[in-house]
Amino acid sequence: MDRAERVFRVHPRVRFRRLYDEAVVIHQDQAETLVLNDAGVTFLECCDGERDLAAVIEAMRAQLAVDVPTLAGDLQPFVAELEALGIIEAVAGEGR
Amino acid sequence: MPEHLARSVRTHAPDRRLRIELAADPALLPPPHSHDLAETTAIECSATAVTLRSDWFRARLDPAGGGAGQLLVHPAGRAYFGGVLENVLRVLVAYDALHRGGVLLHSSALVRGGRAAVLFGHSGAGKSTAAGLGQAAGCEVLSDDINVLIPVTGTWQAYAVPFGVVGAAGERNEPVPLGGLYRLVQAGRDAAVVCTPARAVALLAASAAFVNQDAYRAEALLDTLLELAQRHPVHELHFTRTARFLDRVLPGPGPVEG
Repeated sequence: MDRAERVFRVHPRVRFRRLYDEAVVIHQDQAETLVLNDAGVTFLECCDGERDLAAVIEAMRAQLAVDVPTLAGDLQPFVAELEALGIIEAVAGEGR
Repeated sequence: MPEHLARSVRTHAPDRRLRIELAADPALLPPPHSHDLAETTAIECSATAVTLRSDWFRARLDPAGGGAGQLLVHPAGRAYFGGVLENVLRVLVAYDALHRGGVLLHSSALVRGGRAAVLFGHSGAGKSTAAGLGQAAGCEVLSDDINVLIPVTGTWQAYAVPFGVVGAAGERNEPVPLGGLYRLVQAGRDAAVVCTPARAVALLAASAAFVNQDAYRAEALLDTLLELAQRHPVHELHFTRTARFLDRVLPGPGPVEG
């Protein structure tokens, strides 16, 4: 299965809220927090456990007015970091 | 009982009651000879209760105000009872603060000129150091470990709690108006940088002990912290571990020698 076919969801123990053009994210297992910018929280909002990464990129492209190759390149390390932090988890696809 | 919990406090009628029993409950085991209380205590949250448990004690608290609590301790756990009770009370105070629209923060609070500066940050950030420096410079220390912030008729107030105090702190029964919120960052120079609302809430949430792990009260916590941060913008306080920071957080009559 291709990397673009991976499907992510926000970890059930994670809460986040938009505050102006940023968002606060709380991981309640570790009582850790982080701040995401608008693009970051847009990605998190798209992690619904149903859309694969390709569909998420397409949805973000429409919202953020960024071309797909740029977005895909930027998202790769970001997704890896969120996954390592336990903020998101793969529910389908490679690495699942 | 720990000495700092044995102080008499002149207060009004109790807001809560905690029933304590030494119980040979079959579900409780004798405590091991050596253990770390913090590492062996689990907190479980639900919509209606908060439970602290280890092999040898169990506490059940009502997270809403006014409810009664229960603490069961295996009789062989007498030697550790003071520590358990203090932990249970810390959690109880955290939930009580949230219920009142406030928050318990892992923090030091310094008072000068009738206002409190609350300094928070991760373990090792310098909270105790700042409290010691402030006290040496003539500030009162509410607590060097935990402080409670609660809005009272539109004004945020800092309350002393009898946990982890230094010097003569913890004796104050009256709240102090909040003067500022500072997240400590050890640095090579002293400076204060204001945080965005999201960063402020994130930093506060990381120090909002116990309740920041409760999925049932996450929205209430975020609401509270946003209200607090809008009223008192959070600054990141770059701190050289000298008393010079005091002039930024609690301006006094003259400069502080660092």
